[in-house]
Amino acid sequence: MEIKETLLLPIEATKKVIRVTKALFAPKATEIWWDKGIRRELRYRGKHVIKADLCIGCSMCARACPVNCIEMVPTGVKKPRAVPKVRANECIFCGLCEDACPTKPEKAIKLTDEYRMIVEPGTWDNLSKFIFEPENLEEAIEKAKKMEELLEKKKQEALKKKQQAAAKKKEEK
Amino acid sequence: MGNSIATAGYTFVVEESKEVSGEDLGLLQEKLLQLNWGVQHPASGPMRLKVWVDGDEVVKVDPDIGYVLRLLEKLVEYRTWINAIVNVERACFIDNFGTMTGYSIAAEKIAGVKVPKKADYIRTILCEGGRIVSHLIGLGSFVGVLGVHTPMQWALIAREKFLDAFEVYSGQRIATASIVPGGVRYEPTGKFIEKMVTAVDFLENEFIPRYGEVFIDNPTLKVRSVGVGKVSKERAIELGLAGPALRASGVSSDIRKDYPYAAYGELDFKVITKEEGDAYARYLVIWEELIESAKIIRQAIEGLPEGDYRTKFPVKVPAGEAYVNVEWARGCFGFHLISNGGTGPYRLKMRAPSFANLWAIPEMMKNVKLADVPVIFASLYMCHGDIDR
Repeated sequence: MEIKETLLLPIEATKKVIRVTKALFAPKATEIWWDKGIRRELRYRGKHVIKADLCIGCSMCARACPVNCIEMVPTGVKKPRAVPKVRANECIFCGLCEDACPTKPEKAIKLTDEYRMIVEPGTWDNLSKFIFEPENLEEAIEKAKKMEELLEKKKQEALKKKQQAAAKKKEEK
Repeated sequence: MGNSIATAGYTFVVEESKEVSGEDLGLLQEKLLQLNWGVQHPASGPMRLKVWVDGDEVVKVDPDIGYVLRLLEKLVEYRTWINAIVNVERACFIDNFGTMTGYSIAAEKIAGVKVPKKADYIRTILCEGGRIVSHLIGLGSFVGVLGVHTPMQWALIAREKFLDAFEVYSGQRIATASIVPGGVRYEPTGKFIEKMVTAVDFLENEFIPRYGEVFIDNPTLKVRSVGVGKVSKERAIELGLAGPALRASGVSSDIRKDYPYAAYGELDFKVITKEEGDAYARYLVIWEELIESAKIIRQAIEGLPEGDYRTKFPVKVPAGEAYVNVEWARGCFGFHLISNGGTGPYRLKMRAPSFANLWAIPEMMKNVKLADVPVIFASLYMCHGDIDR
């Protein structure tokens, strides 16, 4: 019997090797979850996207919010006077701010299908700092400042022209 | 006799403590014993029943509620007309469409806004979807308290299909916030209708035959529930029962039929009533309403008209009052809404069916066995969210 067992040893060893190699190339039982598989529908209400260049600063979204989690942050320029900032840990993702936004055709505040919102570590301090801020805010402010400068220049030019015209009229008289 | 101690104007009466041993224990066994059925009981939910028992027989029951009080009625006073729906829908998360519809109809009545026909039909579809979702959980939990947890899992499989449809429609599965004063918030897409039809198909072709074969007319279930918690027709009206519990006692009261709202006036359906008035009859009413609701959804989808789904609702609503009843999944839900001409409701009073059913418990649970307490409790089909509000 012993001789037989010794003869069978290499066969069993090869069997084991085959099993291990098979297991190495087989598909894994667990997968990384965020790569695929989670359905996001057309109207999925996830993370907010706030576009500062579209915003007109009317604060309709802040008024429509049922939990008062939207804060209007003053920008320092005339248009937009203030932009919304969403405190994410208080938000209930009802989407009423998106309904209230009057900008057309694209809304300045929008709920996207982005569902990954990770705060680490999830302490209260970190959560209260978890805020959705407007995109391209600095660019929008710079743009608005340039526009304001242009408008002021135009105004001054118009004023000068008026004054010149008035002076001419006086001279004619 | 107690000894009294006077301290700082208060009088405390402390009962004498007495050690009991030997033969006196027999006397103690004959005394009434108070049991706390809940808050930790698997069938009770977040509420407690104080149950006084004499041996195995229940002598007296006193419900103790208030564990999930959220002051929804007060919170509505701080909202605008539109965004108050997020508080109203949280009366009970299972069927949130019914409460939103009732509030919206009340607000429209005060403001004098007429809703487009399409919005009415979508409201009907959503309300019936919510009713089915709620009834499924009701069926599952009724058999669940008897100790069989399979039907709950089957019910949840069927419920998942409806939640998928709600997610396609509004983006959320449970707190949908989709019905507002002035119509509904979203256009019903083809995919939503498709999902709703597949959900109803699954319910009618898979769930109902399979569930009906095993858990309806089941002899073991009948032994536990037939003749338990019986309420006569007259007594049911006196107690103020609502919903399936009232209909199981032979009163054909259904707001959808009596005072039609949304599109119910144009649809063909029947009110289910049973004469027995016991726990099994209440279970059967829920079961048959489930089948009826599936038919209503099919009719509403067929008759879905073209046009707008939302009209403009004014920011400020003139002063006035409105009282609106809707047939919610668990019974007649009343909304008394008052406006003082502001941008939001001045006061909202919600009359909840589960709260009405709760106070029938002390009478129904007199002189029953302790094992019947969960059966009667589950058959009344209550939701703790709208008991406390």
